[in-house]
Amino acid sequence: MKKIYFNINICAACRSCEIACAVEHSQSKLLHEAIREKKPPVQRVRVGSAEGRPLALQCRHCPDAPCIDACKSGAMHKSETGATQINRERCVGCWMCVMVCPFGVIAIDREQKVALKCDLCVDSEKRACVDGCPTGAIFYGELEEFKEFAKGKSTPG
Amino acid sequence: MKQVIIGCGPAGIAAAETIRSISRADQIAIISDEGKPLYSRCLIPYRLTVSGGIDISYREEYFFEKLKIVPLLGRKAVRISSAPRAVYLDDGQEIGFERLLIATGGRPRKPDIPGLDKDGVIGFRTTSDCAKICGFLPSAKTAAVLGGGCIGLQVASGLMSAGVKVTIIIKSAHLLSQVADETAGGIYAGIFSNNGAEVVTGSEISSIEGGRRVERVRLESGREIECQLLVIAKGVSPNIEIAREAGIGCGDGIMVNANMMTDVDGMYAAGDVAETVDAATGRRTVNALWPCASEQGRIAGSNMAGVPKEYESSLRMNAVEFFGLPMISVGSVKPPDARHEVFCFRDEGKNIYRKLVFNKDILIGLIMIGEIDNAGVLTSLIRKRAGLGRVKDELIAGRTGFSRVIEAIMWNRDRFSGESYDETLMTLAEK
Repeated sequence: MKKIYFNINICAACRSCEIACAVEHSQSKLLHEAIREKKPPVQRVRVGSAEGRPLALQCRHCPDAPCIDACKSGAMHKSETGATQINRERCVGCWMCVMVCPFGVIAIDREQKVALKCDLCVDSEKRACVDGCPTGAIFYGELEEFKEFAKGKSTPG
Repeated sequence: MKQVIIGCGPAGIAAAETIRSISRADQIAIISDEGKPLYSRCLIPYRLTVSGGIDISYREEYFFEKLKIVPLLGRKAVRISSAPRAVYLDDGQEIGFERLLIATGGRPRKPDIPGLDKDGVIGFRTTSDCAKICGFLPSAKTAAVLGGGCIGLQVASGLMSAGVKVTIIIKSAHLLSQVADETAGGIYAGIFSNNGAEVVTGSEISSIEGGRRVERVRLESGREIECQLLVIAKGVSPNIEIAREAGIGCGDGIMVNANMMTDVDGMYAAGDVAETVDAATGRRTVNALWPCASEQGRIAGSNMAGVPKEYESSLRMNAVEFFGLPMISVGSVKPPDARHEVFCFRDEGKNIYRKLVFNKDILIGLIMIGEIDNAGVLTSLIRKRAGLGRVKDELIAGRTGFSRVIEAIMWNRDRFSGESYDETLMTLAEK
């Protein structure tokens, strides 16, 4: 399936992906509006530090997803494309998915009692983090396409 | 292949879905003693309101039709025979099978107390138990809950939000004694008290009193507590009888191997009835937990359909939230002996508590209250029994993100297998 892949060698750790993701998941979908929204939007991709190197990480859409096993309300499910998605209406905020996600990529909204994670921007034509990345370190496509794309790319720009 | 599943909880459903995803031709039948089993048992406490609460259905209405599963509902499996291979129902019907999954779950443990048969004394397991409680709600000003585990506290908070004055009676010295330590139990005791409940620790009920309906309970101390409703939440016992009578090997639960198969070829067990090896303790136990049940069901289903899969291990784990304060607890949260190291962090002002228990450089247990981000990263380290080396110091310092633990994952790479790890770590291997 098409997923989001990441090239560590050309990531500049600028966190533009985090901002783009938060804006995409805001009410207005506009940065200058989003930062003033009553409830600031939450990004579903996070740039961490792996032994001093930046690592942008979001839901890996695991084939045997532990979050789906753990979900007691049936909110977490596989879509027809194989993506792991949350049905917000069904989520009760029990945090079982947070307890088992080995990548730590499920955030929680304690007020709304819903789990938040990468939805691959299903409602949009574009992937916000991919489009928002100025160095091209984030890629959306099939694994083989990514490998071809990443070949020889070892510096930002 | 004729596949028969006894039980329609998360294990049974996951097994049926997995079998159907592998084989379109297999015949699948599910037996359930409940007439309408497609609901989430763990969501029942959310229905503890006079108004009926949220929708707790777990699969769509046409689940059986869509997956071409024969539902045998409202009927109890009473006997399993290995020659001929068949399950017998309480109405006498014989259901032949080639492969069988026993996912009969558990039932509420009932203590031996005089007066247990009075009206208004209810165990908590099924939707009908919940409906009974809701029926008693309008005529209950005060209620007692026996047991202060996750279920007991969910019931208590449900009753409290319905306006009932609740007394929680527990034998142990603190709340959540099976899944949390004294500090964590104390945090929640404070929250329940602040919201109007009374927590009575170190106590047992010696008798349940009243007329036909419960009116009060008497504690061993002699104290009497008025209640028009008594909910028993003392955990569950696995429904192993049908397996034991069939000669299938049982300990506390039905013993299974890594393929979730019992000691009888072609007969499998999964969920709250199955006894598996716990990753944190290394001992065989019944971990009657939703995430374990679905995963075990999925793995049993795969093996039943002829695609071999192994179950790694179970793990005691719970995620709960009471009055807006979340807690995740995994593995051994009380160090088994003095050789284990414990690191705690507490910010009382922000209601944050974190506890990590290590056996040398292996994480074996955690409690996270208030801040639960990245809990799953640590759960995976516990489950894989990963030697942590320097990463241990990162965890102790509160740096728990996936990127922070990559070093430990690389050292134990053979245990962290699968597409998701391969793809994520592939980028690191370059250059």
